[in-house]
Amino acid sequence: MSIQISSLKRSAPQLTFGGITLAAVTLSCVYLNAHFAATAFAYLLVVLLFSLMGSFIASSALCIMAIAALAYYFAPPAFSLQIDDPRDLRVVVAFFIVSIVGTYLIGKLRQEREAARVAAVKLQRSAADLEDREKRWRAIFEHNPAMYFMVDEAGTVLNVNTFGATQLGYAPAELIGHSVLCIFLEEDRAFVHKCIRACLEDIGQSRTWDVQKVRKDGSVLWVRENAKAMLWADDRPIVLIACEDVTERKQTELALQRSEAHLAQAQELSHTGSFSWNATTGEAFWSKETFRIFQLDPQTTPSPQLVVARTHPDDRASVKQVIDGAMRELSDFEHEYRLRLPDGSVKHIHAKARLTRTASGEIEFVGAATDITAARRAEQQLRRSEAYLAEAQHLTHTGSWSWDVHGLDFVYRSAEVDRLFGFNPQEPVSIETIRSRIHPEDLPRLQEVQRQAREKEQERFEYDFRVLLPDGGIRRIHSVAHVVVASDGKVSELIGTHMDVTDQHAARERLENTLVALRESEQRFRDYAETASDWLWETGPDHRVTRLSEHTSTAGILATGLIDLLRWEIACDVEDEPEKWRQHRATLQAHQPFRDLVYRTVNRTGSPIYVRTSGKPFFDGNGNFLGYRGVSTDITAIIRADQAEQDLRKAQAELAHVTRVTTLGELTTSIAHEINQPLAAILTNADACIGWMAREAPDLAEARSSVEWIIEDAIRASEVIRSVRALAKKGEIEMVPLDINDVVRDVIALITRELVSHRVTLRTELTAVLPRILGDRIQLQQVIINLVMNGIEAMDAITDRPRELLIKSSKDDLGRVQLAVADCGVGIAEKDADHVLDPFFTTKSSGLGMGLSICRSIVEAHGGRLSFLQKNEPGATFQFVLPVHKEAIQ
Amino acid sequence: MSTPLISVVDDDASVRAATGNLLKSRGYVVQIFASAEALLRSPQLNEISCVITDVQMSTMNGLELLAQMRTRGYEAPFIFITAFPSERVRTSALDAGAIGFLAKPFGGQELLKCLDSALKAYGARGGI
Repeated sequence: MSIQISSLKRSAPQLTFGGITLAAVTLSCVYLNAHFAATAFAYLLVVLLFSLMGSFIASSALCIMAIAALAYYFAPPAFSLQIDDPRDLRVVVAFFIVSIVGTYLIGKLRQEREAARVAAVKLQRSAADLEDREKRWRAIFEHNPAMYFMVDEAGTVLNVNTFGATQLGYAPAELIGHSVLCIFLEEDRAFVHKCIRACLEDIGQSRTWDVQKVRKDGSVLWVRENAKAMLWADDRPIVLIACEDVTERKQTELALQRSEAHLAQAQELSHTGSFSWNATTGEAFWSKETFRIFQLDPQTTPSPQLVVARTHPDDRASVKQVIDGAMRELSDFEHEYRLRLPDGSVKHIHAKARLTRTASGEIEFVGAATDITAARRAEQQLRRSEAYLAEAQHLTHTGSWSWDVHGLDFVYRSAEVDRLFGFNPQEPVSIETIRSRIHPEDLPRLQEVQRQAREKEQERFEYDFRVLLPDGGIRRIHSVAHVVVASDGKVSELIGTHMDVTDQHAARERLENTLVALRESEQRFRDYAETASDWLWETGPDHRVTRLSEHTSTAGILATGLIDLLRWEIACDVEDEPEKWRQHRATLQAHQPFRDLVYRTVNRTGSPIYVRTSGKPFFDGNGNFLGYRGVSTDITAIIRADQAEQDLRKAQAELAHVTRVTTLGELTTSIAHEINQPLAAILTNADACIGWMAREAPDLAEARSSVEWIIEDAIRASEVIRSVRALAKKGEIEMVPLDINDVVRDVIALITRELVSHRVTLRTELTAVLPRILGDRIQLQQVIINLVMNGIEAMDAITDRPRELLIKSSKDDLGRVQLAVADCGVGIAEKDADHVLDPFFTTKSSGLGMGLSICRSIVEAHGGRLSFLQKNEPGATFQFVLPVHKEAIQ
Repeated sequence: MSTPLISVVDDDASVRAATGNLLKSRGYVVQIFASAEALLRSPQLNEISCVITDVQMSTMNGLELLAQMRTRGYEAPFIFITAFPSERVRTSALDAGAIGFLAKPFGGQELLKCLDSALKAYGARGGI
C-alpha cells in the first residue's frame, strides 16, 4: 500500500515534467522540421530520462503520449493519427518496444540499488546494538553487588567480576589464572573442593553453602555461595559461583545460639520455664525447663489444656478462668497455682504472660512459669514459726495454738493448752472432746469465730469463753487469735493464745462493783456543783435583803453591796414593766409565796443579766411574819437564746412581707383589673337602672335588681381591696384554724386576671372535705401566689401545647393536708432541682431568688414541708404538706 | 322591621350581665356569651346586628373573634371594650374594622351612643 502511494507521489511530477518536456521537444522538432526518426529518437531520450524518476506507470503514459505525438504530427499524413508508411509504422513499433523495455530495466536497476542501500543501513545498526548490549552486560557483571567467579575443572579462576575481586581486596587480574582455593582458609579448602566436585558431577544443578573467605589483608568474611556447573562452548565444564556477604547474619546467628544456650541454662537454674502460645493458630511452644517443671516428655505437643490437666484439681477452675479470661479480654495475665504430678507430689507455680502480636498480626501470649514450691514452703514455715515465736514471747504463761479451720483440728497446741482444757498431752483430741469441754452457752460464739475466720470477715479475734473441767470446775479463758492466709488467698489456720483469766475475772467483778458505786457518787457531786449557780437569799419583814449565799459574790454572779436593798431597787426593769412589779409588791404585801419572777439586773461587771427567782414567806412560832426565803437563778443565757429566736422570726416575717409587697407590685395590673371589672359593672348597671325607671311605664322590678347587682359588684370590689390590704399589711402572724381550699379560693380571686393575660387555663382539683390546718391565712396565700406566679412565668415560652396550671388539694397517707401547684412549663433542669428552694437561687434574669426560699420558711414555720417533685411530664410541680390542726383531729 | 339583636361577649360574669341589663333597659334584644367560642356556636349568627365584646379573653380574644366572623361571612359591626386600653390594641381593633373602642369602666351613655352609630351604619343593610 505504502509502495503504491509513494509511486503515485512520484508519478505526478514525472508525468507533469515529462509531458512539458515532450511538448517542448515536439515544438522544437516541428519548428526545426525534424525528421520523423530523429524526432522518435528525441522522444525516446525524454522517456528514458524521466523513467529514472522511478514510476513505471508514468513512463508508460509518457511513451503512449510520445507515440500519439509521433503519429499525429510527424507521420504522414500530418495532423492525423493515421500512419500510411509501413516504415514509419516499424519505427513506431521499435520506438514503443525500446522505450518500454528501457524503462523497465532502468526501474529494476533502481529497485535493486535501493534494496542494497537499505540492507547496508540495517547491518550497520545491528552491529552498533550488539556492541552496546555487550557493554551493558559487562557493566552489570562487573558492578552487580554480588561476587561472581568462573572456575574451570581444576579450580583455576577463569573470570571474576570487579566487585568480587574488590570485596576480597584484589584486582581481578590478580585472581584470574590462579587457583580459587587460595582465597579460602586452609581448613576449608577440602570442603570447597568437595563442593565444586559435586557441582561438576551434576551439571546444571545449583548448590548453596556457607563458607569463610580470606581477604588479601588476611581478614575473614562469611559468604553464602551459590554454584552451578555448565558446559562451555568447547564442551568443557566450568563452574559459576555467585557469593554474597553474610558475615553480619552469621554473627547474629551465632550470638542467638549463644544466648539461647544461656537462656536454657538460666531457666534450669532459676526453675523458670518459658512458653509461648499463639491464640490464633493454637500453636504453643514450651522451653525445655517448662517440660521439666511439668514433668512431661519434651516431645509432647504443648497446649493450655495440658496445663489444666496437670493442675491440682482444686486450682483447675481458677486456672481455666484465668486462661479463658486472658483470651476473651486479650490481656496479660499472672497467676499462681499448684500442679499435681504423677507421683502425687504438689508443685507451686507462678506464671506470668504478656500479650504480643506476631509479625503477621496474630495474637500470641509469651510468658514464664516459675516453680516456687521451695519458696512457698519456706514462706509457710516461716510464717508459722514467726507466729509461734511472737505468741510465746508475749505470753509466756499462756497456751498457744494453731487451729485448722477447715479440718477442725489443732495443727499445733502447746502443753499449756492441754493443761487449760484438761487434755492428756499424749492422746489425740477429737473435735467432739473439744466441744464437750466448752461451756454450751459459749460454743456458738466460738463457732462464729471459726466461721468469720473462714469467710475472712475479720482477721483478728478476741473473745472469752468458759471451759468445763472434768472435775466440774469452770475455767475462764481469754483468747486472742488471728487468721493465717494460705497461698491461695484463703484462710487456712487460726493462730492464737488461750489465757487463763479465772482469777482476773473474779477481781474484775469486784472492781466493776466499786466503779458503779464511784460513778454514782460522782454524779451526786456533779449535781451539787451544777446547782451551785443558783443562790439562796433571805429578806427581812421590810423585804430588804438580809442574806445571800456566799458564792454569789465570790463567783461574781451578783454585784456586791446588795444587802439591805429592796428587790425593785436591785432590778433595772421597774420602769419598763411597772405592772409586773406592782403585782409582785402586792404578793409580798399579802405574804404569799411567789414563783418564777423574772427581772433584769446587772452582774458584778455591770453587764445586764436576767434573774429568775421564787420565794416563800416564813414566820416565827407565833405566826409573826419574818420575811421571805428563796432561791434565784441566772437565766440570761436562756433569755438571750429566746430573743435571738424572736429576732430571727421577726426578720423572716419582714422578709416575707417585703416579698409579698413585691409580688403585689407585680400583680398591680391584674388587681386593678379585678377592681375595674366590678366598677364597670356598677356604672353600667346604674345606667341600666336609670333606663328602667325612665321608661314610660317605669319597670321597678328591673330597676331594683339592677341596684342589687350594683351592691353585689361593690362588695366584690371591696373584697379584692380587702385581700390586697391584708397581703400588704405588716401584721402579726395569726395562727388560726383554716380550710386550705378557702385560702386557694382567696388566691384565685387575685390571680384570675394574671392567668387570662398570660393565656393560662387554671384547673383546680380541690378535695372537698379536708381537715383544718393551723396557719396564718396571709402567709399561706403568699406561698400559693408565689407558686402560681412561678408556674405562669414558666409557661410563658410554651407555644406548642395548652398552658395549663393545676392547683390540687388532697390528703396524704399520713392524713396531712397536701397542696400541689403544677405547671406544664419549661421545668427545672436536673442540676438545679436540689437548689431550687435555696435562698438566692433563681433562673430568672431579674429577681432576688428569695421567693421559693421564703415559701419554704413559711411552710416550715407551719410545721410542714415544701418540696419540688420531679415528674416525667413536662413542667414542674411544687407541693407542700401541712400538719393537721390538733383540735381538728379530736 | 324587627328589634335588632345585640350579642355581648365578656368572660366576666358581672360585666356581661350589667351590659346586657343596660341594653335591655333601652329596649334591645340581647344575647350574652361567656366566650368567643360560645358566640360562634350560636345558631342565630346571621341575625346579629352588633357584637359588643371584651378584647382580652382566654383561648380566643375579641380580635380573633372579629376575624372569625368576617371569615364566615358575617358583617355585623363590632364594638370592643377593654380593661387594658393601649394605643396598640386600639389601633389594631379599629384597623380590623371595629366601630367603637371603649375602655372600662365606661359610662352607659357612651356605649349607647356608640351602639347607635354602629346600628345606623349597619342599618343600610336592613337594621332598624
